Amino acid sequence: MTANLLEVKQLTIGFNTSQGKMLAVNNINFNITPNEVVALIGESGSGKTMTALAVPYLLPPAAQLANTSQIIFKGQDLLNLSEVDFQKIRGRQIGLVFQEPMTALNPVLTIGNQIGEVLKKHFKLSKKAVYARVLELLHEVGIKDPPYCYGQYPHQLSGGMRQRVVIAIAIACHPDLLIADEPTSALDVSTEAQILKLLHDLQIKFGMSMLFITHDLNVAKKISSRILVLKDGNVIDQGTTEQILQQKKYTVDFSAIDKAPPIAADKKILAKPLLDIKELCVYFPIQKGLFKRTVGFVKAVDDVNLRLYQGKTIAVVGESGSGKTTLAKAILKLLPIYHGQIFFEDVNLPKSPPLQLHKLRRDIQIIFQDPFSSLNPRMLVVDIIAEGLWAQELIKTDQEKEQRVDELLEQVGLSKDFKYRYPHEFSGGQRQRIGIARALAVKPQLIVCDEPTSALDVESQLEIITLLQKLQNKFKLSYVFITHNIPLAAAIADDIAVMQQGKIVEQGATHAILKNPKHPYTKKLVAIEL
Amino acid sequence: MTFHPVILWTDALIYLLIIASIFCVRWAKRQEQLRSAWRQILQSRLAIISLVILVTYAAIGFLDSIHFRATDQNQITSVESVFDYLVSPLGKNDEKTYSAPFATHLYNKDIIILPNGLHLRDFPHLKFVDEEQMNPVDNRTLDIIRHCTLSTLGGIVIWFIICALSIMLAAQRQQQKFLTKLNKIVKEKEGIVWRTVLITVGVIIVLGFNLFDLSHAYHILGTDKVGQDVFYETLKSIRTGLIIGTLTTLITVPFAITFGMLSGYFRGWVDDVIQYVYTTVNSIPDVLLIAAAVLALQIFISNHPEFFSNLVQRADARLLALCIILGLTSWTNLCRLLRGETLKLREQDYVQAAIALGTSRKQILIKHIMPNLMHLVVIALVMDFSGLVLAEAVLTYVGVGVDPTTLSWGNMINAARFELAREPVVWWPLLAAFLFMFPLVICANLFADAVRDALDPRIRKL
Amino acid sequence: MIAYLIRRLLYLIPVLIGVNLLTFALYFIVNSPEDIARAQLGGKHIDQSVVQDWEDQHGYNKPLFYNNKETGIAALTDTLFVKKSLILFTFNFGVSDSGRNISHDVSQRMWPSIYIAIPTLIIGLLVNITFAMLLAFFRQTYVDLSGVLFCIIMMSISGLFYIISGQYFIGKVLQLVPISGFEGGFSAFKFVILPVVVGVIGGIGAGTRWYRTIFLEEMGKDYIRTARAKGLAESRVLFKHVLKNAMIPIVTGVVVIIPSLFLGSLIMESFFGIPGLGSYTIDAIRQQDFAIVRAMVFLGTILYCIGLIMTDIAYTIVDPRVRLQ
Repeated sequence: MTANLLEVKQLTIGFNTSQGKMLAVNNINFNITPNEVVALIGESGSGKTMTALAVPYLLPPAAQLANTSQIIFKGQDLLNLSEVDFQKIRGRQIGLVFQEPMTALNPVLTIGNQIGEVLKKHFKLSKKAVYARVLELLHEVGIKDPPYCYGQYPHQLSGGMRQRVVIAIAIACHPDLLIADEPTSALDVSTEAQILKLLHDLQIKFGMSMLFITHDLNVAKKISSRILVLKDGNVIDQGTTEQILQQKKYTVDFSAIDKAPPIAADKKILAKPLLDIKELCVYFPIQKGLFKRTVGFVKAVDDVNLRLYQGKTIAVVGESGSGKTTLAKAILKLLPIYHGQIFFEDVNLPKSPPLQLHKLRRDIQIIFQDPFSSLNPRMLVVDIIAEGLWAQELIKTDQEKEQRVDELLEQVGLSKDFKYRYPHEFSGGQRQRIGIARALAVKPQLIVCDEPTSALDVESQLEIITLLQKLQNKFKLSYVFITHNIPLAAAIADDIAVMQQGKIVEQGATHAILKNPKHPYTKKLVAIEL
Repeated sequence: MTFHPVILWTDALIYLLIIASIFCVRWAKRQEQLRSAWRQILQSRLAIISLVILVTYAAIGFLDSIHFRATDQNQITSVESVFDYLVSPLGKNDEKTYSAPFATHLYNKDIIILPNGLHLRDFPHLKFVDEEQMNPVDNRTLDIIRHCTLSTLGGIVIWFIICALSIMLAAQRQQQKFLTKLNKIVKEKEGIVWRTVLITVGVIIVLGFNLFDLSHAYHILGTDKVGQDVFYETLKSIRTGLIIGTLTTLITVPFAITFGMLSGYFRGWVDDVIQYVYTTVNSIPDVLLIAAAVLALQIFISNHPEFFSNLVQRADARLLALCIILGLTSWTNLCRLLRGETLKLREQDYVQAAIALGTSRKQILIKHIMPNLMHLVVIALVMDFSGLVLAEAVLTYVGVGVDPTTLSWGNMINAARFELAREPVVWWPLLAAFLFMFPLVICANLFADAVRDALDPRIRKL
Repeated sequence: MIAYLIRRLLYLIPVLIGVNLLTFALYFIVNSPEDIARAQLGGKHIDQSVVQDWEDQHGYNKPLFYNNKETGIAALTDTLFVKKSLILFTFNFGVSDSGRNISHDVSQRMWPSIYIAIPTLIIGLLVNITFAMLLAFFRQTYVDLSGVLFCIIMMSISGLFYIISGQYFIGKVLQLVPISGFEGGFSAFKFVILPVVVGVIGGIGAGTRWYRTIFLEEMGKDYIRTARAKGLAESRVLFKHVLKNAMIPIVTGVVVIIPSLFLGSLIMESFFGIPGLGSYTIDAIRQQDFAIVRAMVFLGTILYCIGLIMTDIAYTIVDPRVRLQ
């Protein structure tokens, strides 16, 4: 009589760590009815993956479930099952899709073998029948040449293809429940759309229920009918997808950002660009043969031309792997440049001698994507921020250092008390501010921002963007803003350049590009994002 | 009687090592990652026990590394260490030849000249163990039991005093009452460290008292072929083992860090050259390379006796040479590890940021790369130690180890091979070597495991 | 692949020249031929003419790098470096300092070494992998914990103790097999069994622990979770998925030492009186016979380098991801 396919009651998962017991999931209750898609959204560390893994009981060995927890699937409590009985449910009635398609498949077994295995386990099929069924499954998940793919190894397939194989394994036995743990977050934007569509189609076709885990509300809204929001192991909000979306709490609304007022000195702007990139190419050689001859190049950045005027922002938009980060590093001359010029004011960076380059480093700075790897974990905040001051000989005494670091911390909105602490004590947003302070220390004119918000949580994203805008106005900074997020680019950039496979396929004023994209790739990106 | 300090080469290096490790500990104390690793190590009872035992070994080794020469009324005696002085007359109580543990007579029959001038072939009395002084009603077992009871009681009393003093100090520092602190420690309310340390120390003290007392009445582990006390020998071997285990790494580490960092950071031809050097060194089988090098140096030492004023210095030079050779042949693995890590680190955003700020290469290597390699160095140090102690025995057996006059477990095991083949069997030197070598190696292994678990980021604890 | 292997082989040449230079430096520059002669003849009070005779006899009476008594190319070739060091590249190991033909000795003594080394390797591998699988299967239980502790205890005991106590209890007290010695053919069995057993036992601690770490590392990977999500039984996950992946580091780790097996084990052979290359080397070291030590260093290096190349080939066989370039 129970209408629910799955009922999770009082789910509590703890870990024993050296700091004592830590709760990853704290008393979560939810249920899924047949044919329903429920999304669990939350940031990393919110306990969503643990919740998903608890259902088929695939938790890491150190995790402990509370005695009161119940996971009722089709009327029986899974936690009371013996391991052998549980094995009959996994794969057969509950299918799983994982986040990282690169590692989710066994590297030394063929695709066919890995899909066939689940069929052999749950059905008594002849070898021939298994083979036929595997081909059918590969076809169902949209793989073009199933017989060829059957004998291939995982490393021979692209990320999207591998994720299709993982899905094929999950749906092989037509399970009643499919659990998808961030199935698209390791993929690029266009593959993400395809995989989402595939999951959606399969869900309808087989009438499965689905538990969909993601950190991205935009993904969740495309597939789910109901959403649970998790934070620090607790459900903080739940409702139908429409209800959650109306609250506008869980996405960054970049349109709320005030566009910076135009900077006065228009004459100067017209006069000369601050940064002028001409025919920039960054190639990495491919070496082969007996004597490692260079037989070709990986063209990470290919014939790129960009102009940026003082006080302006240009956004470089593209998917992962399009060469945007390489471009960012090339502008700072952190990479060898194969061909082309980068003029900063009048100086050509690739050709400038070491001493001149050293001085120029004052004017061009960078902010990185990952606030965790961008700060040396072994250095105090004060030393991190003061690094550039010493290197550029802008200060001479410790007293000056203290004074300047205090000033910088204040400018980025941090307390002076943070000076003598280590980076690990701070949140992602705070770390990003430290990174900004480090860049600001040498009083640059141009800052390259390499996806500065994409590793941050929703609240910090807005804060950091607002901070960057404030600093731009105050110090007349110019930004090269690298992002994959079109709404963000739309909100802050004066110009947009769209990058694909190392080339800039379209560039122009922001409103023009967004209203009237010309290049097919730009059209696709704009369509997905807006 | 006057004392003149004598500093052997290995002594000097040991002092250097101690000073260096004090600086390292002070540096590490400021590193949060290392501090949390240390806290994790202190979660493991086995690791704490191992550490206390290792410290005890180290203390003996250190006392044995402070050498002096005592001059008594213009009569110059040989070089001794503080340790020798503390345990004397142990080590000076030589018999004629083999005698079993706790024996009163020699192990071999010999010709005894009786007071009346007659010659008799029998087991002679030991010089050191004086049966006449024993209580006439006592037999040997009773005497041993009496010694043990007294020293155990003494040990316990001393242990109580130490416990009381240390708890009092701790209570005072944390401004708690003595009894509250005591209660907390006994019930392990503030972690397992205190109680475990105190109990281990207690066991060591009681054991030490027993051994010390008994060794002054008997040869508790017998005597060897030339009549030297085996217990003394095995205690002296501790220093040799520790020196090989620590000095070798002292020589390895600077090489490995410098070359590993340079080749990983600069790549290009620097990398090619360094890789070539370590591939070459690495491709010679270990023992053969060590043997080849030791042989060459051995001949050098024996052909240039003028460099060494006495036998002690010569043996010391050979020990040092062995450490250097072991160090020069074993830096390659750590170097390769550090090179790989440096390659990864130089692509880290914070290093890229430093380059973008114009920080000099030297500063980047010292501030950004080196501190982030230290955990690998620490792991390598503790992991290698036990292997090196074991290697000493094997190399000595092969004939390329320490000098035959140096007291070491290798030399003891080497001799044991023939002692086991003779009739009746002489088994105690082998047992003695085992009894003292095994705890050192196993504690080093257990402690190394704990250190690696705490420091190695690859071992995830979830 | 072929190009890769050729490049690896070519890379061997500078490495071997490096080894050659290193050993040459150790033997001829740190110590003069005269030092070697005196060490061989026993003492420093030997008459100069006797030393001279010995040097003449063994061909040490040449300058190191340049012979100004000769003309033309011979000035460079008739030197110690060429005649004693570079000549090893032709596998002409020459005559030992005690007057034996080294090449002949090597070809004779190789086989007893193999008799011991190969069974020790194979049995040891099987035993260690079995134990390691058991520990991995029971991971994080008391079976695993006590197993690991047992391994640490085993590896904390010096190998010499295993040999000595093995010889004492099995050979001397129980008298099951001869303590030492060797015969060819089928009767080799009774001489081989004790060293093999001792060798296997001595290696259990370190081996089992190492393989256990490999297994556990594989078991922590994502694809194992996928395999479990399929509903596979734990034993099947272990045997099919874990073992197959763990074989990659295991096989490649073993392949690298296979060529070096010819050299035998120094300690084992010497203790058990096996007339193999190991005891040959150890005798040479004890008698300070440099010609033999030099030859063995060179041979050992070549075998190790062959092992490295075989490892590369083994990778392409066991790991579908690896293609040599």
